[in-house]
Amino acid sequence: MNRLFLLLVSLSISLLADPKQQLFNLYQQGNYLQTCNFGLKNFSSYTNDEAYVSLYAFSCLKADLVDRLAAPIMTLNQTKEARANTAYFSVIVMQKKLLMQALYDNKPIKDLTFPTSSYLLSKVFDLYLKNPQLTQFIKEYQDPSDSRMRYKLYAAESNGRKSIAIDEYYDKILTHHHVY
Amino acid sequence: MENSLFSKPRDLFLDIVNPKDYVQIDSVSHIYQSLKSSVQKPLKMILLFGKPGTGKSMLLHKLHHDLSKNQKVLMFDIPIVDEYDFLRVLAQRIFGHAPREEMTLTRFLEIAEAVSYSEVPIVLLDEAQLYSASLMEKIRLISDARAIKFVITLHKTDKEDVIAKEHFQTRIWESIELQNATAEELKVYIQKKLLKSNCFDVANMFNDKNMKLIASLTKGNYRETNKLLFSLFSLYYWYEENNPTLIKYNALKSKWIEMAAIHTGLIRA
Amino acid sequence: MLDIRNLERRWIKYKIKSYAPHIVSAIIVTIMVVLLPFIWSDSKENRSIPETTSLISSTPKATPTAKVLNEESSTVLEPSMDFVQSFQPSTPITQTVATVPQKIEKTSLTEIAPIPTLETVSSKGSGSFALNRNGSKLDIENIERRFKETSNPSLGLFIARYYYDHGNYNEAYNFSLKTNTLNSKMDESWIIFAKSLFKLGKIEQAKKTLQVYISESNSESARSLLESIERGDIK
Repeated sequence: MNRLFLLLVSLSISLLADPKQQLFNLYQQGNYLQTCNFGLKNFSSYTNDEAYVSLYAFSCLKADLVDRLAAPIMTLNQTKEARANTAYFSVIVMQKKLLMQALYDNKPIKDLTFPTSSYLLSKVFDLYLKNPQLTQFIKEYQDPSDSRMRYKLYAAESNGRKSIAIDEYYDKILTHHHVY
Repeated sequence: MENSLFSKPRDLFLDIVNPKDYVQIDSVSHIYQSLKSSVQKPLKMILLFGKPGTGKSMLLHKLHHDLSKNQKVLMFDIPIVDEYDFLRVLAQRIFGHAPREEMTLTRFLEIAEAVSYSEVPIVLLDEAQLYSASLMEKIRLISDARAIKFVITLHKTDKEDVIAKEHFQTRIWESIELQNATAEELKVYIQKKLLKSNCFDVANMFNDKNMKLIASLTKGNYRETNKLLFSLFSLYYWYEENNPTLIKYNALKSKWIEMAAIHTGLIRA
Repeated sequence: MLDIRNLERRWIKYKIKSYAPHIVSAIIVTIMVVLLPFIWSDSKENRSIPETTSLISSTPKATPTAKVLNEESSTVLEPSMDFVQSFQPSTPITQTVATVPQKIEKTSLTEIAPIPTLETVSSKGSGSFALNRNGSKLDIENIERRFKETSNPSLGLFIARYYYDHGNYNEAYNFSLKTNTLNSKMDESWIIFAKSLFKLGKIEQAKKTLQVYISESNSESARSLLESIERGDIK
């Protein structure tokens, strides 16, 4: 009984929480897609709140909604951390756009040098640079640091938009299908 | 009733597998693309697993439909559980060999080696959880001999039992799990199915509240959704005949969705 | 064949069954609200480790943490999640009003700063109070380490007091909270806890905490602190 009541009270408090707190709660629960959508809804009220904008950006990143990073990239600038994160986001967006050109338009990107990151799209981008597999529609790569991980990269439409798909295989089992 | 608005939608949701009725859901079609590409590789087995009603049979049928235009693909949608019958049918349909004598594995492999196609034939086995462990062993040996490539579907829990054994794992090129649809995907599935058959009025009756209820009842399972909507439109058909004033065309009635769910067993009441 | 009448009957039964728990819980909540003061003092004794840590530490470890670096190139960009600190003062607040007894995981609060999947640019945790650490920097870290190992509430209180005196109300809050969970009868720890809340701008929460603590312990110092807050004597 005690516990039920306490649960109800704390739930009602979290519901009354402000949008910033709600954003954080959603993120903590791992509902990244929901967090990203929620963050977008309230974005205009929090443009100057770099913590809010940063958390929104990371949630969209985790939900594979790379295109949503555009607004945070423009907004974040005040602190060293914000600027570092902006550079990180920019690299990922750039890599996605280059991969789109490569996969849809056969634009060669082999001889360019780029900064990189630990984000999956960046990892696969680097693998693509080393081995574009131009004759394969579905490009396959072994993870150099983990022999049990494999990736597939291919062009894929989603909701009528031209997108990129990256499939993660662990021990040959498809574990995650990302669409960017 | 001849001109019922609901008889066509009802029949659309009959739970039968027909590749012509395939509805493209983005994430599934990405998997399908990947599967279609993988099947051309020099592999032994691909495993497609998932809970019942997640679309494994549909995907397998579609694969059969698409590949058989260009290469030798055989589909076993209903398992032949007798081992010798299975081998005999396999030999007959793949190699055109119809012996009178009993077909053993050794004999089968001899025939396979003798025939030796330039492209290894593909065999699609649906509901492989119904095959005995001993027959699965034979299938494994056939794939080892590179006589046939197998694409196998299994219910999820069975995967963990049968194929989990080490000697199977090493034969599996890829293992893909199909899952229930997300709420968004379910909406797309229902809308596309209705619109493909020009059932615009009925498609417009589905609002967000209705979709939320349907998704929560069926948990995104395609089979459960088919059964639920078949029952729902049967209900609408009945009310249209017997009490048409009750029908509102701007949205579905939650009450009737729930009644359909009671009928199909999604709600226990 | 559909038996519509039967289905309609079963539907009515289903609806009644599904509304019943809501009605019952509404009645229970009303009773609980009435009995609140008594229940609160009851549950305080059974309080376990606050959920702050479990909420933060239960962040799903989705993708493997990237290992620091890429031998080949120095141009690997790593993100930083230090900004999450600015969300933290709010989360603990909900917990002081009501503790949700869900999964409890012990995690040191000083590990909260980077959310697990990402590497921080500077991995030494929050830099905001680095300026305050002079010669005592090493000492306090040492004590924190000992506190982590031994869970000695006296050490916790010492650390909370240290941080409060040095203006780090966040850490003062964290350590006094930890101390209170280890030993809920340390008056000074509760005082520092409430004062930290106050300094962090969470005045209502500070007052509520003190009220609850006073009702349990009758602490004079807590009472006078509450009065000072209410009078506006404290800045």
